[in-house]
Amino acid sequence: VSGAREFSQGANRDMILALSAWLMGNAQDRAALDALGRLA
Amino acid sequence: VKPDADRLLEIVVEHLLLRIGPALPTAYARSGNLALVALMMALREEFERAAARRFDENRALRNLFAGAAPVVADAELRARLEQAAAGADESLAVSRLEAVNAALRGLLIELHAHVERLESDAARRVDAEIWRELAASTERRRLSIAVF
Repeated sequence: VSGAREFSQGANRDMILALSAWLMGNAQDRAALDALGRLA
Repeated sequence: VKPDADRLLEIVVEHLLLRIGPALPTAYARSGNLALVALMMALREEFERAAARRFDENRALRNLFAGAAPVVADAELRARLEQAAAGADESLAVSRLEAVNAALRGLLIELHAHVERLESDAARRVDAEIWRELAASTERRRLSIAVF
């Protein structure tokens, strides 16, 4: 999340931040829902 | 415009993999190139659905607000929910859909916090509906190359 913010705001332009944000951001939300028993 | 973005991104990926990648001098540079390839693949998937998923989600949130408003005890919040539920997307530009989506999701957070404090069967039904919508929102955003 912090990497996505840094890339979006231009503080860090390393492409790996964009990649990790795109690949992991939603997965993180899904993991949180799964841990709360709300994903099914 | 032609060639369309989907085809263009497909060619960009090929170019990065088959022309640029092999010509790069270091392993670090090549790994950076592979990251670009993965991003282009994700971008291609997101471009195809960018407007549709936002439009669908905005409609789902408005429908949820319409059903939830009668349950809400706070008159000011109920009025804002009713106003949002009566709205519609007037532009299919992704930036406009995104701005509307951000506002609707902000209102969803307020609604969720409110119904969690209410003790009624109707409030519990709204709460369950909100959780279903949150799960659905992650399905809309899911990328085929993502791990979960």
